[in-house]
Amino acid sequence: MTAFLPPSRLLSGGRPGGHPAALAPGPRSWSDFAAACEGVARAWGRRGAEGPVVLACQDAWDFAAGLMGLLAAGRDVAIPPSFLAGALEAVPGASGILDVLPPPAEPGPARTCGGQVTFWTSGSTGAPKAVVRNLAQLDAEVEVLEGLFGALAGAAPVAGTVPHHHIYGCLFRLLWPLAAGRPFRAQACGDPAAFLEAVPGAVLVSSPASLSRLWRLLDPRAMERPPAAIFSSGGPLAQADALAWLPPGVVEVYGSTETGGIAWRRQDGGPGSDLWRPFPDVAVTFGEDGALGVEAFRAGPAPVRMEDAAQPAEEGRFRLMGRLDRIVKLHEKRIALPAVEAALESHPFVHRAAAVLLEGARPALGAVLVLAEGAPESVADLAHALRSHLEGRLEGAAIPRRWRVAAELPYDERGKLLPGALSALFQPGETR
Amino acid sequence: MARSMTPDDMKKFIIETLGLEDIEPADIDADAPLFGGGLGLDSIDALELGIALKRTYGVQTSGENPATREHFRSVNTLVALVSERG
Repeated sequence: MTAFLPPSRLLSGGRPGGHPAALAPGPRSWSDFAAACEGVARAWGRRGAEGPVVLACQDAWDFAAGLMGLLAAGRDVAIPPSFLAGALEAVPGASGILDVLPPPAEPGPARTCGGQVTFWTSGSTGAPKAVVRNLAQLDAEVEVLEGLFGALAGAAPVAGTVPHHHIYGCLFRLLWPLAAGRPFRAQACGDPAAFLEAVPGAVLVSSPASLSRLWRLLDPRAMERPPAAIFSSGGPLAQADALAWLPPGVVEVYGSTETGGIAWRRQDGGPGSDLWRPFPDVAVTFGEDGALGVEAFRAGPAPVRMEDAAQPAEEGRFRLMGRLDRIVKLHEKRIALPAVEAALESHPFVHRAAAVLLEGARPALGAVLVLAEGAPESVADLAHALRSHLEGRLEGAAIPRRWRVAAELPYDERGKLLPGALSALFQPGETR
Repeated sequence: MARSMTPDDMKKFIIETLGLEDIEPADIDADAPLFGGGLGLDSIDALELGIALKRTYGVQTSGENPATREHFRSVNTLVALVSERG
């Protein structure tokens, strides 16, 4: 294995030029990468403007070289929440947009990177919010990942189903592999064919939205070479979906754009494997309202209050109880939607459940169900059975009044449940 | 199967599976790339469609088959996939 070079020292000249850097889609060497970065650094290094450069390369190889080249030139980088035209223009004070790489250039003396990187949060609770990560924080992030999971990942190439311009994909698909010297696959492998080509023997960087579907389509146990390691982030993975990927199992990472990685788990069906272990540099606290608090250098100087409820468990681990904003008020009663979902999923007819507060003249709780085999076809029969199952388990107000059956729950590309899409299933005209 | 599948059948199947309420079969070009193209379908949609084809037509996509990518390219290639297995 080659020397570990965190982002600030990535272009310090400490790696042989022949070392593999990427499959983009053909093999690219480390000297190819360094030359692409140098081209960017020269083109963008002396423009005099102070504002951040908007990095909008749709190709992950270009994106990685653009990011490191800009940082090598000491420029601040803004990574827009999407590559749509409106999002690019929304970056305040930007001095330019890098979407096409300039020609590569022969690297000169070693470059030390500077500057900071702005990401945007998913905006699931409102408008996207800018989050600034400085290079020392990104260095610390990839160092923690290598310390925890480097041995697991070995020297395998890294393939991903998630976008490279969100912090999870940027770290796990690009910055961490670059630091460790694992070649990254530039093309996402989210569709079944690309998956089968890219993933055997590779490190897979994915999300619950992909992993919960892929194993139903392609039997992972029939793969001649399973993935070397699988990572998932963006939301919790249901236990059945996690078990389907054994071996090697799924390392789920809990984190946020604001804090970086916070904790991890690998569900294998064993006792306590559903509990989260904080990363070694993270201290967690539990607020009076149940909110999880995070203290870490990577998260910034002040403790960060997460929008998730958590309970402490044995050996410093914790149990996640769902998002705080998933506690809704109906009939003056507080209802934790995750508790409704857990109660529904404890019935054998239900594979997955999502509860949503339906606003309107008569607010009501709605349940969207992914059915297990053997469930009745009639929604009325189903609702009847589930209602009697929930009585005694939940307060009356927490028992859903409206029911919909879906093939899958609506998750976004980062694996977050979309409340708007859930409500939409109950609109007039949706008869499923 | 009573009769072989037509591109129009596949378009209807895709529209129904993915809940594309505002799209008509005529809006889909049977030869054009389905995913990452003008229909706004992403890789999660491709997985949904694959699972539905497996359930409904018994199409197997497991095994490390290099032809799978070609099968998921367009409506016409999906029709070929289903006809092969049907």
